[in-house]
Amino acid sequence: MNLIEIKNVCVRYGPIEALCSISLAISAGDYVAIIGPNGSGKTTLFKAILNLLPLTEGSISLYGTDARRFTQWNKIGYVPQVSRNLHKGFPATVREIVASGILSAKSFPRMIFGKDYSKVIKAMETVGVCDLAERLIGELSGGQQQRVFLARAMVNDPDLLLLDEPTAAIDPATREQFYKTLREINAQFGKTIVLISHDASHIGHFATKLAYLDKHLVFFGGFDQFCASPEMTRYFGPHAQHLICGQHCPMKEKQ
Amino acid sequence: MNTIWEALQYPFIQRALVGGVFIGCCCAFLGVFLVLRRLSLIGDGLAHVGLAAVGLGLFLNTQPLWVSIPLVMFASLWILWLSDKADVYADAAIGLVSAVSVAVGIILASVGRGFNIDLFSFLFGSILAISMHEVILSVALSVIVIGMVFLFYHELFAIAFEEEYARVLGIPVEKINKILILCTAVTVSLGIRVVGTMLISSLIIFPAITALQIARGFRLAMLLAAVFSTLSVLIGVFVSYLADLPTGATIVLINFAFFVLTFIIKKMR
Repeated sequence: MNLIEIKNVCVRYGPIEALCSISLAISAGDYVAIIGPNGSGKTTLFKAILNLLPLTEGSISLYGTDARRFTQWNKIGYVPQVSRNLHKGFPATVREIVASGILSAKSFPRMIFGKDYSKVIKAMETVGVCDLAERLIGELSGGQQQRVFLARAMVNDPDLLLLDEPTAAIDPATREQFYKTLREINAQFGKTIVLISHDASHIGHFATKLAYLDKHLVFFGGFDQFCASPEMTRYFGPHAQHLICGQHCPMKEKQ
Repeated sequence: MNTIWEALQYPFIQRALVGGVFIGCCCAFLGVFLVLRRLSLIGDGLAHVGLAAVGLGLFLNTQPLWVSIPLVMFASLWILWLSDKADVYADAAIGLVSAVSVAVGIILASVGRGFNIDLFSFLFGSILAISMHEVILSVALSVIVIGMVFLFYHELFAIAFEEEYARVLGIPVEKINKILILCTAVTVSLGIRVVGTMLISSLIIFPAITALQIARGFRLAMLLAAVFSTLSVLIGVFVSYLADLPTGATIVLINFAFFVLTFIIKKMR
């Protein structure tokens, strides 16, 4: 089943074309990495999927429903780009932040009851932030914050997770660990993951599919196919093969 | 102690305390959201509108609150419309609406020369002169505002933390913003009586920033803001009575003293 179906989507910001003729489908159980240079439309694509931006052309359906009429947002967990606007002094605890994710499953009046907190604890346990529950969000490191936002996205046990550059503010070791956590979530719990990253060399080893965007969809397929594709050479240069596909290329691991 | 007990016997002190505490709590609860959303100065802008509206009320020889509440609510929606739909920055929209209002107020004051002294009391507040009718209206509207804050607490929290994420959660952000700004308009209209248009923004900002110095959790921040606000009103009314000082200004200075105290506590941790 396709959880996301994007058909011929174009998005413009006034006269500027941000995305053009994007068509792709993401199926249940996929772990898709979206890569591309700055300004290539990766975040715009996420915003279009989440109905935060109007489409100039084309259509997006979520779980078979047009995104503009989609209401079951509890089926989708979203981790935005490292809260650029996160106010360090915001007085919310990790527990309060994770609990706010429950609101997508509520309608007016949106109240959070005692039984909802068992979901909060479960989500915090899944990503390993239970010990941070009473800490203020502004006191945490970038990696810890990302885990908290992942827990918030997972609190309703959604089938689909959308993550926008979740490792942008964290060190390489924590990043590796974060990708592993995502792989476990994908493999063990069968969650569909779509992740934006600049880090093609790392994410390629974890994701099952790679989408390369540069305002239009340059490539969509497996990492090994990407490594062997002319698009790879065209975009990263003839000498980047080793750096990006490296020794841990899944094809090589399988061999 | 006897003097305080004696003061409590006066109906005007009782009315000031009841009205002040309710309005102070409204300011404190709303202030936490407004400060975190960097909208603190909306109180100041709306207070200018309130002054013009009070001027109009006096000019028309009606109860000023009946004129100022709907006019300030209208102005708050105008600010929201300018910043959302007309692409005017929020602070510029606040400046625009408040400047137009003050200009209207000045013209009204010059046309109706007889009410300048009354207008002065709204400029600097006169909580000790608050009537029973105003107390009842203030308490009733404060209960509604506080009720709205509690009813939409989770939505307000989510939007304050990250507006775009709140949209992804399916929260009707525009509607909640309208509710927040309308509640602020009502509270500012009521607060003008307590500390006046010149100082109303401090009643919104101080309890919130004081609580934010030491609160370890959002609910606790709300609770502490209400506690600091209540204590400031209570202490401010009694100190001003005992020392024969202007009540509104005393309440603001007590609020500031709490802020300094919590700031020092935070730095010493």
